[in-house]
Amino acid sequence: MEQPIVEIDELTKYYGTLAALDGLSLSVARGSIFGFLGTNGAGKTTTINILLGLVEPSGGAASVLGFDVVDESDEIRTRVGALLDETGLYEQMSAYENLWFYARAWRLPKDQAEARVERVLSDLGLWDRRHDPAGSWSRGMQQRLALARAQLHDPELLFLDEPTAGLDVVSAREVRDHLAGLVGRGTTIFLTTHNMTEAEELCDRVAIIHRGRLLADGHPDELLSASGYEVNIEGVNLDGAAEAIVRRPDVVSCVSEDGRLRLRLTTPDPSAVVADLVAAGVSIHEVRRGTHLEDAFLELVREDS
Amino acid sequence: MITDMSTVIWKEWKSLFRQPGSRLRMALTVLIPLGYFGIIAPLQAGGEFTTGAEPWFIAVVLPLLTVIMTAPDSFAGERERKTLRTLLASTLSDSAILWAKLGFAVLLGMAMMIATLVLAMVVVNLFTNTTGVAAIGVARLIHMIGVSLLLSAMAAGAAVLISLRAETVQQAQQTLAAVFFVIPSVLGPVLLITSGDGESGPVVAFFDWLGTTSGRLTVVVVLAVLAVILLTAARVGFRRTRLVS
Ligand SMILES: Nc1ncnc2c1ncn2[C@@H]1O[C@H](COP(=O)(O)OP(=O)(O)OP(=O)(O)O)[C@@H](O)[C@H]1O
Ligand SMILES: [Mg+2]
Repeated sequence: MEQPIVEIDELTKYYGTLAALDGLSLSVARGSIFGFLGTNGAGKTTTINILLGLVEPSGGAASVLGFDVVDESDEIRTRVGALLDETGLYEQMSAYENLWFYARAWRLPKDQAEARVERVLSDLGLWDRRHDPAGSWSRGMQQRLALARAQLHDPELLFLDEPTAGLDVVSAREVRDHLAGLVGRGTTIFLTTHNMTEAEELCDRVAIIHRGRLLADGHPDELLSASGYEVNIEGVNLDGAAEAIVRRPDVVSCVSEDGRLRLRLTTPDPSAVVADLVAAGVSIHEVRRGTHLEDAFLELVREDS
Repeated sequence: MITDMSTVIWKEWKSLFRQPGSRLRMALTVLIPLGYFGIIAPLQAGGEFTTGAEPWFIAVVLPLLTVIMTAPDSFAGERERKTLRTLLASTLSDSAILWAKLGFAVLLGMAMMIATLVLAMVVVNLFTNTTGVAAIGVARLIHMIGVSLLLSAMAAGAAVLISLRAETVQQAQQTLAAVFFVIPSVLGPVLLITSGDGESGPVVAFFDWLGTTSGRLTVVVVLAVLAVILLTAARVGFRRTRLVS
């Protein structure tokens, strides 16, 4: 099997007596968008800081691109890009100067730096306003500029700490489309977000952490199955229909409320159950999948608390 | 390393005069000393200027003032404006960042001092009655530049150490100003008074000794030792894993 691009092994980080990370282990495969989910204070930013060599772990080990985060963090920083939980823009400098500085910081030769800056600014639709001071821009444009900066040196791996936080739906959509494009070209993205719909849409794998520990990880669909697939059914003659299906092996639970059936199934496909209901004389108006990543997330976190 | 440092210096230069709201403050803190030491003082002193105490004020006060005004902005300011962590997440080494910023502050201090000195010499020669061309002696000039350089380096090192702990740029500037200006200017007179005996007391004797060759050398050596200590401490403190909290 190919070596994981990020590998975290029993990582701990203490601030005083507070365990920001408490034995976190996980690994991230190349070429995907990895969603790193958790409540406020779960330890997401701390993990990213450690992976970039900005914070020293209290215990455990981690490597990025095969380099150790404590001893070889220079090698890591040369090869990855990061958009942290602050844009990090020099507000008094122009957008172009901000990028030029970082292009030179990544030691791109002048002609190559010029080409790259133009390329990323154009890709993110910012080229026309490149001479504006970055501080005069809207939150959405600043966030896109910071995203442009993170990929100046065409890194194999991007760390993005809540890249769509505080953005309106249009800006957030633009950022998400851009990320999907990057992954299409082979970049691996390590993404934290509080937006479950975003994680469901973008991520091939998600990990849920809580109080510095891993609660679950896998494809978003796998996490859903852990709590069962919820299905809501509306229709006529539903009263008593529960009897017809409650003993089926794929039905975990069945609740009838407000003229509606709320089911929890072991499979994502409700058609067999629906057929049974129709046979029992129910006239069905709507079948709606009810479980989203958010429910699975809430359930996992609640169990842990 | 040199390329990295010049990249950082380019950035420092770009953002130097563009801090919001600081342009007036910066202009005042540059223009007032420049005007006083570069124009008014030489006009008053005339030909005596080159041998008097005024050039020493230029060599001591101007670089210190410049470093105290700019260095905290470059260190504490980077944290206050939330650009430090992103900078540290780049491929630049912490030593390249540190030395470029320190070097830039010292360079500015020296530039201020030399500009004022040149202005003062022009004023003395053009607008006062001097016999022939008045100029500062070479030995004196070298001594002044050496002391200036060491003081700037000390102030820059102290600015890093203080910026690591200060909450804001302003707080760092105030602390630095207290260390380099307020304390010495209070301590001087206090020493003079407590030592008591007017014209021939130990403090006066000390100042006389400072004028001798061994006095001058001792001052340079002491300043050099202090500068090395402060810069070393700055290097130890300025590490990625200590800067991000
Ligand atoms: N420098 C620090 N000193 C003390 N405690 C800290 C420090 N940095 C983080 N913490 C604590 O560590 C825990 C994890 O913080 P972290 O910032 O990693 O959370 P997060 O998952 O990124 O949260 P959010 O979603 O709010 O960004 C929190 O309890 C936080 O208060
Ligand atoms: Mg965070």
